[in-house]
Amino acid sequence: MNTIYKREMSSFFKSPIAYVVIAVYLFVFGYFSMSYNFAGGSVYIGTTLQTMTSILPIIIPIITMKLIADEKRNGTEVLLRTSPISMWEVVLGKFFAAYTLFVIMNAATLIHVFLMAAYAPLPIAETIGAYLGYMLQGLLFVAVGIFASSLTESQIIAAIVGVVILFSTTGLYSIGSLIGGWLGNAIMWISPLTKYAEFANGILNFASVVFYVSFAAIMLLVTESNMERKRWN
Amino acid sequence: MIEIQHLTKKFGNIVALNDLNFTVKKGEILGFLGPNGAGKSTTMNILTGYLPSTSGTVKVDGFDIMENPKEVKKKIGYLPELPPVYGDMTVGEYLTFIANLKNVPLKGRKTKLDDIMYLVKIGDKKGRLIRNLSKGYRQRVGLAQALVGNPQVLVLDEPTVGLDPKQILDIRKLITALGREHTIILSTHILQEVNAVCSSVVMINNGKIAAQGPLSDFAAASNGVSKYNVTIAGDKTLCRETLDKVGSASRVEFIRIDGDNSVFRIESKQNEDSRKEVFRALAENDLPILELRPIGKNLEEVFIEIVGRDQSAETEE
Repeated sequence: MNTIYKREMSSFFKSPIAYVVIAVYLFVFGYFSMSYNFAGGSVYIGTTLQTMTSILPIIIPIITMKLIADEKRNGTEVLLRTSPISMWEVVLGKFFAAYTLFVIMNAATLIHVFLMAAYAPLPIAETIGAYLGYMLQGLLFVAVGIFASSLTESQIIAAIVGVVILFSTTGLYSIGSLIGGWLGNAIMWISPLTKYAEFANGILNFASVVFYVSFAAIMLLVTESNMERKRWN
Repeated sequence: MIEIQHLTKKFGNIVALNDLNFTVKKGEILGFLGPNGAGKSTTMNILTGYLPSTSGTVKVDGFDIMENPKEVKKKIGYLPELPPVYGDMTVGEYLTFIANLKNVPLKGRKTKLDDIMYLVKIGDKKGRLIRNLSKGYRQRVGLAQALVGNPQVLVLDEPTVGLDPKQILDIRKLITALGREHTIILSTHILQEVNAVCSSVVMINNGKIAAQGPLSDFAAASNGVSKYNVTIAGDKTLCRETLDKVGSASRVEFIRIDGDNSVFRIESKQNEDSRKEVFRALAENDLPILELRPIGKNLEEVFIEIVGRDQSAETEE
């Protein structure tokens, strides 16, 4: 797993994509942070992060699109499959590499938090909760991105599939609130955004943690079995 | 070392491999021959654990690929049809990555990798990005990859494709040298390659074994001493008289007059080479030999014959 992880990490930083993605991400983050927190005078970083959630469905698939699709196109999938490592090691290595990039991206956004802390007392619980929830949500998004990458040989298709899945899950929140009633509530419950709102309010709901982690695990499980199944056809 | 029994592979309704049986002994270099689409790559993909078989068993050093895939994979170095290289890595980084994948111990690893790079002659390309290397070099990096971890078995799918003639000779020499310590399966459709490096041959066609045996079986038909045409500068009748006296020739047949020369076809008796005797007899009578051409079958003809036979049999069906 470590071998795959290291290779993917170095591969990320050898291609311009990682830098471009990080730059775009930080720019957008800066824009929202500027308008909500600095110009808007809010001390809650959670508002900014929640807005960022609506562009994550584009950012994450760009990071994850090549992870498995490219191995197939390159012919290097043969290498991984004929080496004495399991598909799990491959999937997890790639997953953690992409997630590390996500962590790095967000570590850079902490500058905004520190800047705010210099001018105003911060709501500690809400800030930590907002970031914790955001990172947990990233776990799920990255897992979905990897799953999309395992479906095809084409990076572009992998990216599009990832974007569509992620947008539709985040979109469930709006759909649920439109419908209302028990059905609306049920739909909203599935949406990762609902869970996120709790974290942003500084509530550490164990059920939400389980929700993100278990859904991410399911996505990885499906990815792994999808790759194993492909081998049999 | 490698035992393949009743190996069958179906892709949906298409039968890619049909009841393949063969074994490769330790230290043997097996030439795996067949036209395009015969199932060479499929067999190799199953053997190395990339594809599962539909039925049948593949054992490497006693381990079954389905039951003990990890053990088998540790013992095999595989060079697939397309060298499995990452363009964004340098040759050195790539081989280190492979060494990690194959759990090569850190101790002494650097010397081992340097030795491999020296063997396949890519030492000077260590710091180059694989993306920028030519096809021939990529092929060699792929071969280097297969050698990492010193596996007992090497499975090479058309290792000389894309190389220039000098490189082809180098790689063949290398394979012959590796054959002293490794068991090698080499797929190719270049027949000289089999003649040059292999000790035994398996020919497959349409997913079935068409012929198999030690190279010498195939070479017996191909050494050409049993049958040859000889062109002699001299009169037909005189030549005839002289040739008829040659004891080791079983049959002398007049073919044609070619200007002032006569052409004969001579067949030697079983296990005898009549060429020397023919030369002496003709020389004594001042009949110079202008040309002596063997007309035995070579591996190529055996191959084409087998492939052709199978195809005509199939159209008849």
